[in-house]
Amino acid sequence: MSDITLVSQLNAMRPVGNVAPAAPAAEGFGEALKAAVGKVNDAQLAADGAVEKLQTGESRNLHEVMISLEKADISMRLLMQVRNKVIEAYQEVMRMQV
Amino acid sequence: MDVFDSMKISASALRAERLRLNTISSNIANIATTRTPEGGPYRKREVVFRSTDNLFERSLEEKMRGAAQGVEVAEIRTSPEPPRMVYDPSHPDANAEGMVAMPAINLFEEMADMMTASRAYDANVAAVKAAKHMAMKALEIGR
Amino acid sequence: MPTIDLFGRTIGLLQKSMDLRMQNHQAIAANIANVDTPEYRAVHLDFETGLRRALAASRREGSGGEAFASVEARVIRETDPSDLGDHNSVNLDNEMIALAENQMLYDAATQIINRKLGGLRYAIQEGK
Repeated sequence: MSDITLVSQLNAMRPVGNVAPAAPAAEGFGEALKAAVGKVNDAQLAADGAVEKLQTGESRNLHEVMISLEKADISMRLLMQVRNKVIEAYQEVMRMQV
Repeated sequence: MDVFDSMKISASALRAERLRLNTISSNIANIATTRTPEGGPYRKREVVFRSTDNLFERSLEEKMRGAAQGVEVAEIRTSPEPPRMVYDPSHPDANAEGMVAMPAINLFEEMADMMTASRAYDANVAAVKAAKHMAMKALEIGR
Repeated sequence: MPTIDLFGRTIGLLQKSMDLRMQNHQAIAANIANVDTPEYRAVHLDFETGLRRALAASRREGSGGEAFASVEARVIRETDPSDLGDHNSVNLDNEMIALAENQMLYDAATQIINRKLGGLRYAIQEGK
């Protein structure tokens, strides 16, 4: 599972200098967030798949299931914290006196 | 379909195996008994097992009713085997020819039965432990 | 982006799986109880195929946990192939292994449900 920290995602976005000059920062960030959410969703689906295989008898690989569950859990929590920080930052900005 | 039903099934087996063990102990203890209240030498006792549905007052799920049965002792019957005649003229119960009627109990047979009963008892204890473990785990959901 | 509905397919599967495994424990306990009963035919439950079929149906129709509500275990009574002794078809070693495996999978389902519900709770509480 590749790194989904905000900074690395933003770095990946930088060379793409497209659209209006005012917009690129916002675009890059939106894409980054969408990609992160997609990855978390994939991790959840992978974990669900492993659970299904275990319970229907296709695989008796218990540690695989527990590890993929934990991975999905951790990536979800990371995304959650990122979201909270972003909201906090936004609120901070909105509070600034003009 | 609840866990207590399966515990009752295992408990019925523990009861039955213990009864069998008691019968075996009685047989071994009386291996040389030549006088009994009903006359004659001690006759070997045997237990007869039978599977049963009569453990549950509440109705079990229809499908499981015939499938998940406990066990009970149908009867403790006296073995019809004739006593062993042993030559021992000095024995107080010897007859005119010096033969004594001894119980037809084979020690090794009884020991083998005892081991089987013991093994079955242990297996049922394991089943009870598993049921209890599963119930405790279910209680942890949401904690 | 594909969505996961709230108490969706996986939790439905796990719930039904736990139901079936409890039934399976009853059957195994009955077999172990009757290990010395003459003429007794061992009982085995087959439900993993049923679960698999419900899972496939649920994926096809895009539905959630409802597909599992109707899954039933199939009762199989096994007869003793050899003609020795008292015709009791219980193999105690197999039953003990089945007991352990069943318990392990039931425990796994409990733990997994716990984690999934915990994750949902976390998300609802917004990670605070």
